This record gives sequence, structure tokens and C-alpha cells, in this order.
Amino acid sequence: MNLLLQRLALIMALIPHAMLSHAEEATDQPSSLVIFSATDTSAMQPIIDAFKHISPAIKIHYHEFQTNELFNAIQQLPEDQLPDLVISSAMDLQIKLVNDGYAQPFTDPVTETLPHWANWRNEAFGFTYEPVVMVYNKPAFQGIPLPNTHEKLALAIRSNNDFFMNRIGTYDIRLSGVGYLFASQDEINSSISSRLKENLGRVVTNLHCCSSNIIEETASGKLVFGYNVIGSYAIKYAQTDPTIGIIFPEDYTLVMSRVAFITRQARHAENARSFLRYLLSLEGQQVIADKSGLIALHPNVKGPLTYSHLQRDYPLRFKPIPLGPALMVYLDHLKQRRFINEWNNAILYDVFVP
Amino acid sequence: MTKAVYSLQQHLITRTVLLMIIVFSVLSAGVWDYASRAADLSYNRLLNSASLSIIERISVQESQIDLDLPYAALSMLELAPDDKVYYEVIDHTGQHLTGYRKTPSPVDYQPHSDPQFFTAKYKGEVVSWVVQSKLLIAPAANGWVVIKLGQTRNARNELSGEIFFSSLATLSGILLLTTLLVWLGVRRALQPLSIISENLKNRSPNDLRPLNTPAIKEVVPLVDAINSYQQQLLHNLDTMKVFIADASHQIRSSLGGIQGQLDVTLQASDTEEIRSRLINIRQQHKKLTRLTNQLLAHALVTHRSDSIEPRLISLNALVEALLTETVRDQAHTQIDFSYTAKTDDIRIPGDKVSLKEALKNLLENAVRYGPDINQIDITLSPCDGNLVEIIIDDSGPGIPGHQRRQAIQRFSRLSSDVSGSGLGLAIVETVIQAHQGTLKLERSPSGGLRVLIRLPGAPL
Amino acid sequence: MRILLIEDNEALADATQEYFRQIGHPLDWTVSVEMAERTLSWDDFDMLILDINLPGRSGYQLLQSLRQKGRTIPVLILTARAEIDDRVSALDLGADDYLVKPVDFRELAARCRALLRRERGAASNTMVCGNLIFNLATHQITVNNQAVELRLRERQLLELFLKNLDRVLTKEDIANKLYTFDEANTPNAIEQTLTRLRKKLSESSLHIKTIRGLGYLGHIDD
Repeated sequence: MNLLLQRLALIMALIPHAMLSHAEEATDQPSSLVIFSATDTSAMQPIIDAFKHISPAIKIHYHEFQTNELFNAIQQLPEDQLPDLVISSAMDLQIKLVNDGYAQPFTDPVTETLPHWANWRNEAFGFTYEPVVMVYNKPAFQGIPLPNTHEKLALAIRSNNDFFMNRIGTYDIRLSGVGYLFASQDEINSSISSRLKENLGRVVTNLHCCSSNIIEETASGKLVFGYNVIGSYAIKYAQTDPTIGIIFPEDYTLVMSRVAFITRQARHAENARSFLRYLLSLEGQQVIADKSGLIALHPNVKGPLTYSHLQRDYPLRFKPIPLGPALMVYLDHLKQRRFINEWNNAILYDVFVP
Repeated sequence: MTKAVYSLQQHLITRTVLLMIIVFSVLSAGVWDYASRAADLSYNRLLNSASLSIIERISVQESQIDLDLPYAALSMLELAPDDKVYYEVIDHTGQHLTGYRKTPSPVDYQPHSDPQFFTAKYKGEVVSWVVQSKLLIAPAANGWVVIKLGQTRNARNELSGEIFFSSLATLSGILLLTTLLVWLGVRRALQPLSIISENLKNRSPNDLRPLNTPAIKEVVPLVDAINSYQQQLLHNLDTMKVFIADASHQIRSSLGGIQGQLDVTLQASDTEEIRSRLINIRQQHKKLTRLTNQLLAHALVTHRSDSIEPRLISLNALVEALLTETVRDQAHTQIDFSYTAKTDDIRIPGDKVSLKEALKNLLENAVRYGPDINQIDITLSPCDGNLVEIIIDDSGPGIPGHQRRQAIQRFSRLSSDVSGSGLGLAIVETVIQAHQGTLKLERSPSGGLRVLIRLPGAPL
Repeated sequence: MRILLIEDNEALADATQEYFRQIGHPLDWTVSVEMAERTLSWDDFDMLILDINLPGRSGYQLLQSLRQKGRTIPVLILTARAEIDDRVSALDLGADDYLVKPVDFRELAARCRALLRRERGAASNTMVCGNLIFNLATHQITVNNQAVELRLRERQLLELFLKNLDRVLTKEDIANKLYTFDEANTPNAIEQTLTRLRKKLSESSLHIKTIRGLGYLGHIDD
């Protein structure tokens, strides 16, 4: 935790200066659009390109952040340096920002296709549908039954300690906002989450900053199992690497959505609305499905990386994380301290007490 | 035509609509109040449950106050799906413990375990708050921990709006229906009037049948009144017909007489005969003149009785002037006049011209029908009941009791006196009636005729 | 003694002129107010007999303009209007008397005489009242050219009546005029004087009528 804060403080000290030049540049041009995003540029680039194609007049200034960096930047930047649009996969942090009054409403017919859980107050909008999955190394699991529920995973770890020892990876929730979100949602949704945590600790689970690391290491065989990784990355990876297997837990599969909102202080609100409208539109969503590697939310979008495809192929219990103030519970710093302590105690126990 | 200055129907309906608007406004205010309170009540309960669930999770651990914020607390508030949520926990020393900072407190808040609700702005929005406290009794932390939980008011406003507008819709429906019913009722109630007016409008002027009475109790008196008025008009019409017949008979007879006399005179050659015929013609002519004058006078007083506003007039002055004129005209006769006024200044409301005409006729009658040596007495006196009495006595032959009624009728002449027009007393009666007075014929102390008139005096 | 008749009805005017000629008072005749004004401007008349309903300007307008010029010439109005109000307004406008058509010529002549008498009496010393002649200067009184002897009070009373013909005189009026303050002025005394006067003038045209309760009225019946 302290480590995290120190890192953030360091970054924050740098950001205002870095942003200043961009902000001024943006102010000078009414056709600008400033986006702060905590989503890989590579995922967002196709969408930005497609948008540029239909609205060539709008100059997009895209800045990539880590989720926590982004959260802090928004809270600490002076108002005139705030971006027009904020995009992040950290749903809880986005909700906190909206609750704190950083967002402005966006009412548009395009939002009507959104499921209820993906729209809060017409201010925060989820625009992807990304299941939280488990990945495994297919060769390693040859002849071994796949743990296709959370409970089965816990049992599998327990009964096959040696197999999993040091070969299972998940998010380090102290570093990753998304990881923290997934862990807290596990606790909310599952009664066995602490047992699972204890078992993960017992086999000295590797902790990672990002989904891609876990997937890559699982593919390489360094790990045999990855827990709670972002499904879209896994599916995309699996398309090229057949060693990666994906499990959509049958008891419940959390679904994450990247969240965008237009800032209340937006200086190019009209441009931001255009972009958001495009992002949520059928065309934009098709671009997401086809090119970004993320999974489109729009029910009418065609292709493998789409909500409709997932629903057809995995008629499972998808459990989208709803946008709403309840997401702020685990941001309460006492709650956070308590939760991370418990997580530490469970996951890291065996590291310190072998 | 009558000016349509006042529509009962419009009046009633306007009043009703106004009343409805007032009722609507009052009820709307009431419903609004109720809706806000109902919405507040519902969401305050929610807020209170959430704050209770939070307060339960406050504990003291290792000399530190800890809060395990329950997920349920905020997720239950998501029942108001579009509302922001703020909370703050303040420890026993008054320091911020967790949650948002600088949240508002009610004025003079005294920590208490009962929840207290209030509304205050926070982050630029109106927020409904609950504040509740928990007393910690522990060596490390002794005192009140305060939890404040707030929620924006979208859902409340939506709910109260929903209650308000759905109630209002019902209310409007009821009021519109009521107005409609009143309108129909008023129309229905006034319908007999239009039936009657239609009935009257479509009637030919020669249709003298009474109106049919609709079977509505309230309308019967009106129809009866119209019918009785019609009967009166018909009666007057009859009277008028008889009058015209009588008058034309009289006038034509006189004209015929004169013409005959003139024809005969033209044939005559003897100067004496011509002269005697001319005297005859002159006599006839005089009679016709008088008849014409009386007819015109009668028409005049009849017309004036309908159209002249009464004014206050001095009866004494009127009678004295009239008497002077009469005495002058009768100076060469053996008729004595006397005048008695019990009071100097008797005033009555009336039409001077008509009254003078009436009294003049009475004096003329007394002169005409009386003997050569005649005594005519006029007495003016106020009498009981704010009435004024005018008595004209003569010492003529009088009128026998059984003929007195007839004497007042038009063209009735009791004697065959040639100069009487038969209109004198009719004129008098018309004038007296127009003045709401009474006319009586009696026997005078000297055995002649007494004409007794009573007229209402000046209003006191 | 000249009378001007202003009347647009030719038959009536003709008859009136003839009647007045027969009784020895020929009168002049015009048919309109305009003509009457012209005639009046170069000729003197002792009185006017004025019809109201005239072509052009009405009789009222002539009367009004005469009175506005301050001319006191006696005017007798003839009216045929149905409105009896004519009489009232005629007198109000300064007419001296009125008659409603059709008029009895004897009545018309009598009214004319009365008006002229009133006018003349004020101007000369001799009052001619039918068969009664009263010389105010010499105090000589004749009835049918026969001298009548009257006592002072009787003569005074006679003069009072002759100067107030056709008007009601109350006993108070008479007492105030005839008796000084300290003289015995009982009503009885007046009554006795009057009785004597009536007896002495019983052959004359003067009638003095008693209206009990009101007073006395003198009228010349010629």
C-alpha cells in the first residue's frame, strides 16, 4: 500500500507539468479533444483512428495512464487542465470520480441500447463487455480435470498442492486497480473467496501487475494457471497461441466494463460527446469488436469478440459488475486497509512463513 | 330586444370553474406536500437502514476505531439507482475518520443514537442526509462516533413527482368530471327556459292559447306567470278593441250628425232655419271637440302613466292653481267654490300633468253635472298610512249607489247630457291607478256626489 | 289697439280675422315667425296671438327672442299640441296666456280683452272693464254709463280687484292693501265692504267670486 502511494505521489508530482503544455495546446484549438485513458493505447488506437476518419476535424490528444495514476490526476489537476473525456477500466475509481462530481450528463439516443448496469446517471458509461476469466496451460492440464468453478479451483489447489505450487498467478491487488476490483467483487459475490485466497496463498501464488503478464507466463509454461485475468486479452491471445486455454467459471463469471465519462469541466464537451456517441454506437462498437481486441457490449455487433458471441458460446453465468455507488465501498480507506490486510494475510502468509 | 347583459349559465359555470381552480390549487399544494413527505419518508428509511448497517460495523480495535464499511450499506442505496452517495465517519474526538470530508451537519447537532434527517447542499447538489451517532465506551475511545450518510434527491424527486402527477391526473380527472357534470346540470336546469323561449318564439302572434306547462315543478310558476300576463294582455287587448269600437262609434256618430245637419242646412233657404241648423251643428261640433280632447287626454295620461318618472309635487299649489282657473272660467255662474287644506304643504310623488288633468276633469264634471246653483268643495288632508285624501263634493244630484261602478267605465254616461264624453272618470281612474291610489264615489253631505281620492304620500 | 295674429292655418286665420272684425277689433295676420318679425320691426302692436306649430321657426322661438329683447308686449299662445306640457312651458317662456285649439272665439276675444285691459290699465287713467268704466284720476265709476257712487273702501277694493283680475286675492292681501296697520281690519269688515260693492255693481261685467278657504277672484265677463 505504501509503496503504491509513494509511486503515485511521484507520478503526480510530474503530471501537472507534463499536462500543462498539452492543455494549453488543447485550449488553443476548439477542434481538440483531450482524452485521459487507462486502457492500452494499442486497444484504443483503432477506435481513435476510425473516429478520426469520420470526424477528421477533431484533433485527439490521447494520454495513457495507469488506473490509479489517472484517478489521482483527475483529482489533483486544476480544473482548467482536466481532460474532456476520461476512460478507465477501473470501474470503481471511475464511479468515485463521477460521485465526486467530475462528470457531466450525456443524454443521447445511443445510450438507450446500453444495459442498465452499464449506465450510471447518464454520466458514467460502460462500453465493453469483458469477462474475468481463468487461463490455463493446455499441455500442462492434459488429463487433468479443469477447475471450471471457483470452488473446484479451491479444491483442485488443495488436493494438488504440488502441481500448482509456484505455478499459479493472479493480480497483485496492491499494484493493480483492476485486480483490486476483481478481488473485491469476488468477496462480494462468492462465499468461498477467502478459502480460495487461502489456497492461493498456500501454493505461493505469483503476483502480477497485469493480465498480459499472467497470460504470457501461462502460455510459456512458467505458470500453469492464471486466476482473474481480463477475458478479452486472453481470448485475443488464444487466437494466436493454442497453448492457452480459457475458463469462464460456471458458478459466476464477473464481467468488467471499461467506463468512460465526459468531465464536467470539459472544454471540448461537444467533441467529447461526439466521441462518446461514436464509442457507444453500433459502428464504434463494431470497431471495438474487430480491431481493438476488447469485447464489444452492443448486442447487435457481429464477431467473436462480442457480447452476443460470448452469450452464444458460453451460456454461462456472466455477472456484470454494475456501475453504481456500491463500487465505492472498497475504496473506503479503512475498508481498503482491512481488505488488503486480509488479502496479504491469505496470499502472502506462506511466503513469509514457509 | 333585451340586452343579454347577464348569463346565468355562464355565471354559474364561471363560478364553478373558479371554485374548481381554487380547490385544485389547494389540493395540489396538499398533494405536493404529501408527495414530498411520502418520498422523503421512503428514502429516509432506506438511508436510515444504510446508516444503521454502517454504525453496526464500527468497532474499537487496538485503541483504534475501525469501520468495516458493509457492501450492503451502499448497495441498498442503489435502490435509488441514479443518486450519488456520500458518507463520512467522524470519531469521538471530532476528527474525520473515513469517507468524504467536510460534509454538512445540522445546526447545533447533538450526538444521539436516534437518526436525524436533514437536507443540505454538498458538492453543489442538494443532498438528503441522515446523521446518527454511536456511543463508544472503551478505554481507548470514549465518546460519540458520528456517521453521516447522504444521498442526492433524484429518486425522491422522481418518486414525489410520480406521486404528485399521478394524484394530480386523478384529481384533474375528477375536477374536470365535476365541472362537466355541473355544466350539464346547469344546462339541464336552464333548459326549461330555452324550451319556453323556443315555444314563445315559434308561436304565431295569433296563437292566443296559453303555454303548455312542462312537468317541472320549478318552472310551473314562470309559465303560470307568463300565461297570466298573457291573459292580462289579452284582456287589455279586448278592452282596447271595445274602446276603439266605442270611440269610433262616438266619433262617427258625431261626424254623421254634423254632416247630416250640414247637408240639410245647405238645402235650406230660410235664414232663420239656417241659423237654427248652424246652432245645432255648432252644438254637435262642440261635443265632438270635447270628445276628441278627452280621447287625446286619455291617451296622454295612459301613455304618461307608463313612461313618466314620478316627481315630488305640491298638491296644494296644484289644486289652488286649478281652482283659480276654474273659478275664472266659471265666474259668470252661480257656482260657489270652497277649498280646505288641512295642511299647508301636502306633497306626493307623481306626475303633475296627469294629476292636473284628472282633477280638472273632476271639477269639470262637478260643474257640468251639477245644478246651476252649485256648491263645490275641495278638501285636501293627510290621512292614516301616509296617504293623502282629496275630496271633491258637489251639491248636484249625485250618482245612485248602484250606478257608481258603471260611472267609472269608459263611454258610460248616466244621463243623456249631450256634452259629456263619457271619458272623464275613466281618465281620472287611469291617473289614480298610475299613482297607486284609490278612487271612490260616495254621497256628499249635501246629497250630491263625493269623489274621494286617496293617494300615497311622499315617502317619509 | 292692434293685434297681430301669427297663424299658418288659413281657415282658422280667416275665421279669426272675420270674428275680430265683427266685434270691432280688426287684427293683422302673418303666417310665419319670419314674416311676423318683419312686420313687428316697422309696426307697433298691442298684443300677439301666436300659434306654436308654424312652418320654419316655431312660435316659441319668436316668443323667446321677443322676451330676450325685453319686449313686454302681451302674447297669447295658441297650441294644438297633444302635450299639455305646452301650456306650462308657454307660460314659463313668458307667454301671458294660452288657449288650446280648437278655440271658442268668444273665449279668445275675452282673453285678449283681459290681456289688453291689464296692459292698458297700467298705462292710462281709465280702466274699461266691459260696461264698467273706472277713472282712476277722477275716481268716477260708471256702469252702463250710469254713475255709481262708491265709498272710499269700496272704491279701493274695486281698484284692487280691477288691477288683479283673474287672480286670487286672499283676505290678508286685501287687508294689507286697504287698511293701515292700526285700523280695524277684521275679516268681517272686508266681507261687509265686499257685499256692498257687489250690490252696487250687480249690473256690471265684474264678477267677484268668493272661494271659501282661498280668497276672492275678480273677473270681467264681457
